[in-house]
Amino acid sequence: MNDRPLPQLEELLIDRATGDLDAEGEARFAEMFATEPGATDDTYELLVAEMTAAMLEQDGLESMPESVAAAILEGAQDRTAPVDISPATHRAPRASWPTWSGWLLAAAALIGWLVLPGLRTPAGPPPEPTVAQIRDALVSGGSAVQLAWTATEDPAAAGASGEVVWSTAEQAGVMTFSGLEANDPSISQYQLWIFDATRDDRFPVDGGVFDVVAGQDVLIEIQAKIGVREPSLFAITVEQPGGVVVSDRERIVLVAQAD
Amino acid sequence: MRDESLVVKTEERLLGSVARGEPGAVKACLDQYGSLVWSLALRRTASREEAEDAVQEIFVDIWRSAERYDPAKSSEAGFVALIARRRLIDRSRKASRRPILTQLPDGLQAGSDDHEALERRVEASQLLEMVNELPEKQRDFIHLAIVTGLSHTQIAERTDTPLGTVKSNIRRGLAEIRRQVTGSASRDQTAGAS
Repeated sequence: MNDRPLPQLEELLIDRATGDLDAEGEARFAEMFATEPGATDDTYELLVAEMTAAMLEQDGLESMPESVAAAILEGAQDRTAPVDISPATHRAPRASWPTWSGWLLAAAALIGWLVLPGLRTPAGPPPEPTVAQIRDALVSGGSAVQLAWTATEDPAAAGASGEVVWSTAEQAGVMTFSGLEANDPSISQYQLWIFDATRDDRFPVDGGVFDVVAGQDVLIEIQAKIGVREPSLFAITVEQPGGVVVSDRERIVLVAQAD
Repeated sequence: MRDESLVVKTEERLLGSVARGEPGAVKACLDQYGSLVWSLALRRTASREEAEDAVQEIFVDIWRSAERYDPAKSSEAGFVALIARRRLIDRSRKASRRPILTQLPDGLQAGSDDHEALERRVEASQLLEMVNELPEKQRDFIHLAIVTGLSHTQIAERTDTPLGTVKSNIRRGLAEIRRQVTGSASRDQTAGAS
């Protein structure tokens, strides 16, 4: 393999193709764009795109939610000849709202219809379920695992308990905590990490940041950044406000191990 | 003897059907590439809500750009990923309020005086083989950049590696793959001509 330095333009083209030109690089590239014929070469961008498609497919693709696909098809109707598409569907209020919310809302609407005939008039969209309702639906849905938290020796976890409910089928979950030390969000926040047996252990899935208020049991909806296929371990760390991309795992306060 | 593994697949004609407005083409294209775009958006946006918005924008771009697809230059999946990446990078730049000094061009400009062109596309499996043959650091950093969607700085933080080392590994890895791909293309053209 050749270890000679790459020409500056080639370095800039590669950084641009990976979406990583810093401000200085942008300025240098802008200069070259005007003067160097090679600066218009998109070969690296195309190569990265081909690699993206191949590597993502190898790693396993996440299915697009039906509500998102329906919204895209609805938007495409105007520009094409008659297209074989489903009836227009309104976009779900939240993409992370899993499919089971459909029957939950249907049940709520039915109860309202039966019990409150005076309310049988067109109304706005039904309210989103609470985190407690989401948890109940997951548990009763049958596809979720329930794992108890185990406290580490971190002082924030002294006396803490609770559990994590997670459904891989629904890609949704809720955590409950009791006795976990309250945090000051301006100083630190708790962050969930989900270790996936199908992925590299060095790079667990970010499950979102959250706060704990003093003296209250809390329920937190899991916000997994990407799909989780085989969760093997859930871990709560203490991180800087806003969370981190990579945790130094210096303060792990709770863990829940899957079987 | 012609190397059939390098021949462009002929069954990939969805984008052409979309460009011609053929019935069912949009849905077929969404069925085929929805997961690819969605998976990419999930990795390159801050939330699922943002990913939803992004994929809708991306598919509008895809419908508009379908007529520019050239099967001699890329696979359909590669073309779709190209559009998706451009849109997601644009969104990321806008979110960080970084100035966009050089707009990404609409078309593909591959092939200049100074750079060999990817005039034939290489099968995905061959690309994966090439990636797997790279030194471990190059392979890992490229994976983190392309698949996980991390910036070079984030990769440096995550792997506790100097930023310059991350950049040089990614650059060398991609330069090596380009060298191999263009070499494969040249070999294919030679074989095809014989």
